Amino acid sequence: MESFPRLFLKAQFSTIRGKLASLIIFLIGGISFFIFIYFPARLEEQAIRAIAAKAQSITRMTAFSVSAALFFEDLESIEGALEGAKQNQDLVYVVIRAESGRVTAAFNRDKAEEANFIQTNEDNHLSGDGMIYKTMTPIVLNGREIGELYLGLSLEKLRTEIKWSRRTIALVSLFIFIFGMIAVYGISVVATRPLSQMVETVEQISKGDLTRRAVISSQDEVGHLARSFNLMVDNLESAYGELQNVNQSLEKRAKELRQEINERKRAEEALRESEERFRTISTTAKDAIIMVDNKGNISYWNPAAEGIFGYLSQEAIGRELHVLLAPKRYHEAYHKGFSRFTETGQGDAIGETLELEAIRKDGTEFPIEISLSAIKIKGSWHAVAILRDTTERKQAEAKLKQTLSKLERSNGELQHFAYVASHDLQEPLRMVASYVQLLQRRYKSKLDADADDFIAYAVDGSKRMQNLINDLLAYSRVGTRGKEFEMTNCQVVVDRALTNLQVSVEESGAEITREPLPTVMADGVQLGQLFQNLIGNAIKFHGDHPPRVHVCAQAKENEWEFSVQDNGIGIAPQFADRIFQIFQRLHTRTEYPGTGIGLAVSKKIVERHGGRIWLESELGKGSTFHFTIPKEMRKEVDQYEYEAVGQAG
Amino acid sequence: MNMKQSGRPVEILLVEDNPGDVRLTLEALREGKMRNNLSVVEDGVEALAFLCREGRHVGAPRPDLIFLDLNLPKKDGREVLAQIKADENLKSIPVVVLTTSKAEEDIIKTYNLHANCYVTKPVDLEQFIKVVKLLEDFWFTIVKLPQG
Repeated sequence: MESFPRLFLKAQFSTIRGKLASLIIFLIGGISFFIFIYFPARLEEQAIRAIAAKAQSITRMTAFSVSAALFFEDLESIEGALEGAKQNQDLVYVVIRAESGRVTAAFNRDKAEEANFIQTNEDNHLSGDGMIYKTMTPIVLNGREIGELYLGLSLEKLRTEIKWSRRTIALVSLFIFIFGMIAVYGISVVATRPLSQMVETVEQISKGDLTRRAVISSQDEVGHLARSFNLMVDNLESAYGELQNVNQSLEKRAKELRQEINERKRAEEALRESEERFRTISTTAKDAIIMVDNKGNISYWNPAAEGIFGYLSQEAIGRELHVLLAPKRYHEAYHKGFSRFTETGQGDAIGETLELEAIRKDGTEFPIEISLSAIKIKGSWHAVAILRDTTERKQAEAKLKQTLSKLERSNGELQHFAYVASHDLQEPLRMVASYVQLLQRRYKSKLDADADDFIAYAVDGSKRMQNLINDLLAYSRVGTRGKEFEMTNCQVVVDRALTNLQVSVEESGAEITREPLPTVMADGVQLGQLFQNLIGNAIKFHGDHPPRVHVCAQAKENEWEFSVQDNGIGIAPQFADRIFQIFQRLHTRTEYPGTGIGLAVSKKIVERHGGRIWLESELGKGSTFHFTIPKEMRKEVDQYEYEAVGQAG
Repeated sequence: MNMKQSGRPVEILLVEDNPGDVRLTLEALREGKMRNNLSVVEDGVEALAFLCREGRHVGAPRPDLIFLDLNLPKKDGREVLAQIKADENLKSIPVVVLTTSKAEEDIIKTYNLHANCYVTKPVDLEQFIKVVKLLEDFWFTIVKLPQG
């Protein structure tokens, strides 16, 4: 871990300002230090030199003035001569030594001794404590040295002055240093502010904010730099904008390419799948799938084609289709059609399903169903034929047609038979019935009792037979003698039915109620017969109470539902279907007379009108017969039956 | 005047191919009150020959009433009717169509051919006898017909 000062230094030196400031501070420090060291020393030196000069002049003057007195050993004069020297305030001591070494006169001899005045020479002018400047000069008279003058000047004043000036200098240095520091800081701040701003701007720009511009605050180099910088950023911005545009379009293009690639991949996948599918379909198809190129040659031949025609794929491919497969009678039409097809891709057979004949490898002709379609491959028209061997279908169709016509015939015959039989049976039966009745009339009680019985049974049987035939005729007539449907008012129809039933209504004391009934498309006669049958049954099969019959109709979505409700003996559910069959009866003739034709005829009438008939009943609690008649009457339901037998009858 | 008053037996021509019906008609007429001569022919050609007194029918009487069946061999009863009613001499003779057919179209067609009446033979013997008697009574006692 780095120490704090190093970090600080690092921080200081990391900016230009820091570096510059440090350098300047270093320089100012150096200069201050130099001033602090150099000037006091120089001052001292100069002061000492001045002192020295002063000392020298004083010693010389004093030496000259005392020289005669010394020579004469005139102490008084010497003292007097010294007085002049003593005028100097800085004088510490004066010692005059005779040639003999004897001290002749002295001022402050003690101090002189203390300063070791003897030891004064060129190299040693300062006293031990440095506070006294020592000089020595020989006293000369007439060219002869007669003694020596020693003099000491106080340096105390000097030293004090030096000390003060040193302090002043130190203060000045410190002031310079501090002022320098402040100036450097200020200058550096002022000088580097635009730079810092620019740095900040650059940082912002580098972070992506290209709208930032350097502030131009001066006309100097920095201002110039800022201007240039702004220009550069302008260029950068426009370049960046362009770059971004290019980038965007590149990205878009890349996206498109990716999409294109994906699409292509998908398309390839789809193609592969479709090829796979085609292969699967074409190889597993029961139909022959054959492709023909623009020259009419077979270019594709699936396995089913092999099976149908007997040629293997390698035998068929490359051969001319019509030569290989088509009977000669088609060739001319084929040539005409194919030349048009190769030019236009169109033809009478294209898009159609045709029934033709084709030839197998073994030469046999067989019926086919062929669908042709056109495909344009590399600018030329090719054809795809899907064909199937319709031999079996043709046979089945023929058989079906035969069966159908047989069925139609037999159905017609049956209808006709029922009509004709019942019609023509009536003639001989009428004879039988008439003559047994004539026998009965003429010979009753004239033969024996057995004969009377036998004749009576024969008469009864023939009458019943006549009823049955009449009913059968009525039944077959529903289909053969029906009228065309027209708007029929059911109110009127029911009125007529009730008129026909008047006798039985009166005899039974029946109470017949009804709701308003609609108008429907129907054969009015048959509808009347239907109501008559149902109401007649309701009256006929009454229990102990007098019959109550209610007729109503309800509108359903597509049809009317009519109901005939009674309070009669009812019908057990297991017989609900049986009662609608012809000649089916649930009671003996002695209980309830009748042949059992009524409901069969009713059912046939309802069915001819396209409706349904059914029964809701509970034994002993009455029955309700429902039947429907469609609102929108279609063509008559059994048109064929009607027409076929209508013509025959 | 009507037949009853003339005193002579009434002449009836029955055109019917079925001997059973011929006999039944005969039996029914026998039970009637009128004296009658019933002539019978079995087909349409014979019927017209009888009426025109041709062939073996030379000297045949002119019938006072014709019972005509519709379904006949050789010549259909409808054609016979048409020819009778087209013939100036014969068209005044009343023609009773007596048939087993109940068909509407037969009824309409025969009346259009000017049949004098159309009767469906009742299936029941009693009814049949009753009808024949009624017809006889009606045409020979109630209705007035032109002479000769």
